[in-house]
Amino acid sequence: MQPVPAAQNRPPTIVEQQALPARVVHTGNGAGCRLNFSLKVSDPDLGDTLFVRWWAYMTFDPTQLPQNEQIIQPDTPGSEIRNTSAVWNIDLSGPGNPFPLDGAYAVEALVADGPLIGRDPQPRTVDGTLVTTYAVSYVWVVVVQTGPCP
Amino acid sequence: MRGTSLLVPLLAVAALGCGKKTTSFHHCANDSECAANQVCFPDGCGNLAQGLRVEIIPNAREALYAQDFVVGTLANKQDFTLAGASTIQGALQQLIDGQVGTAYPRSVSIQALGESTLIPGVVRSFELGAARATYVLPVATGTYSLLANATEEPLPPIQLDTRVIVSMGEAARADVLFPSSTSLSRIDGHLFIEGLPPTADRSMLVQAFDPNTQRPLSQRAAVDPCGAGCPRLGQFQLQVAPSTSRLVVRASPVNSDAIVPRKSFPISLPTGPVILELGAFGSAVAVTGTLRTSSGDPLPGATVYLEEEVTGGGSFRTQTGVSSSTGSFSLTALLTAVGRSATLWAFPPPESACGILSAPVPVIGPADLGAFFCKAKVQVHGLVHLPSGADAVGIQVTAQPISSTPGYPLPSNLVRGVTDSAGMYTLYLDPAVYRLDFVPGGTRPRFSRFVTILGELADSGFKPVEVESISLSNGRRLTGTLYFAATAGTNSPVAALASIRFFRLSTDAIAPASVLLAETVSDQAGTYSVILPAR
Repeated sequence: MQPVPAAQNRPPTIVEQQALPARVVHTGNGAGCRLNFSLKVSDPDLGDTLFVRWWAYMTFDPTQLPQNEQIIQPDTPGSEIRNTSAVWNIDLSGPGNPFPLDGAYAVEALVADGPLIGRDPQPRTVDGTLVTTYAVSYVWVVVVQTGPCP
Repeated sequence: MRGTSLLVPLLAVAALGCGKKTTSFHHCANDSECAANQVCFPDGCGNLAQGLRVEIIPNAREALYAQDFVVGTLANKQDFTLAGASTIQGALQQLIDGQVGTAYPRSVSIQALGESTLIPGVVRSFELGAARATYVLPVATGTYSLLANATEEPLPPIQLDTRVIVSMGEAARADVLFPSSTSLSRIDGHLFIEGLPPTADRSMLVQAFDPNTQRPLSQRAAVDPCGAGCPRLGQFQLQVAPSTSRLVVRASPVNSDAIVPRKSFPISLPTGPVILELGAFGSAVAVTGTLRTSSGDPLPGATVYLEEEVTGGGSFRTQTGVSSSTGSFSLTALLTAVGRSATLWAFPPPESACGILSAPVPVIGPADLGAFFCKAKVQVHGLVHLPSGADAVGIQVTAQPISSTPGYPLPSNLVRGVTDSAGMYTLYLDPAVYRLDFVPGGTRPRFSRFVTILGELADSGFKPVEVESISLSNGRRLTGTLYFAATAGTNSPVAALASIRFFRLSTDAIAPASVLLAETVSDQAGTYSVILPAR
């Protein structure tokens, strides 16, 4: 008899076919300017809860706090590609606009199959065993220029 | 009967005595309030098979973007046949010596901004980085405004007067005609900062905009910096369409972190050389402050910035800062003009019980602005039941801000919660209009309601809000297969890993024009399965 193999965790992936909008976005920042980012996430471990964090930045700062967060629960029945999209809808004319200045920003979605502290997915217990968890990210480039959106 | 009728107002008085405010959904709360063949949708009672729209994105990476369908079915199976790529395409031309049809040989960027024609409110944008003479831009179906920008010479940006409607698999045509370079109106001028041309560390850009629509009328142009001996004295030149008579020139710093204000200058054409002066806005000053909760504890992790009107007529927004573990923050600002406004904004992290803070804070010199106390968010709670009447335990609840309420900014973050063992959820929200989404999973459909959180003030903070209780809907499973039409030009007859979203058109005036009912992804065989509401 072989011993029962240790519990393993497989990483999540981002379904690039369904990432919207295109990688590079040009936008104004006046009334009516909105950006809707969305992507589908997949995890072969059907019971894994997925944790999504969003950032917008001009210069990468590993200590920057996320500007949006989302938790995607497993589907019932289980589905490798989760039915719920990871989304961040932004109103560029509001005071909470994450693109306050003209210029080029990165918008990053980080997807992990363990709870995140900062950007680091934390180990979690599967069948009584502590397993490594994983994070993957997807980045858009947003070029903001003062002006309205038609 | 009499006892019951007395009990209701007594309970209401008791609730008010506790400082609670009971609020209702904008329309119905439960299916039981609707006719037998209707469901309580987020925008009210409605027929199960009316007003349904479906968005299918076959493969965005392969430029097969969204295609939209109208469905009116109560069947359990619904297949869809998808077309190939939809595009906007056309010629890029320039008017030269009165001759239309001269191919424009230089690089042009194209941007299509619009929304779904069938699912209003679903925003779509697509871009093409560089095209010459002709262009082909793959897009989703929808109705678009088209913008074209010559990237190798300062021709004014072109926005087509008519909207382009793109249907499934269609190549919609939209030609772009640039004016001839010799016909353009030119605005020559100088930009000064306190009487001097901008120095290299304060490089400036100028751009002309329509004063009514705020559309750009010119490309951005650099202001010549003050070089050795300042030979060109802060000169700039803008080019706009020959028909332009009134415009606004906006001056802004090249570097977003420069401590220089932005300023707008109205100009009528024709005009001789113009002199634009940013005014004596002074030097940068350091201001500090501390953010605290309503109970006086430090508020860490809040995003902070200051917006102000400065001497000389310009406006300035500081870089954003983040409050420390002690709640302190520091910003680099300019002096606020006498009698003009300045506002400090603080956005606490999503998990904080603190609400969005704004405070009038004129900057009159380097200073510690003192402590700012945020109001606690509105405590919002409600009960969720299963259709059987039992408590719905462990249901995910999210509050999506939809629109602002008078006196409060629109929050940007989703807020989440889960129902407890009694089926109760508690959320802490800033005042706004929200869509509450309840996601039970399994065989029950997603359930959404709109609710307005007004933010009624109490002695300290806001009154708690009790939301009308809800009963989740029953669900019905809809399955089907996504096929490609034979003419689609794809390698596979089915659409694998395609995104499918079901919407209902909304009649709620202050809510989005369409509301998501369900979403899923097709499998490798192109088959999908979703749960929709049912009676």
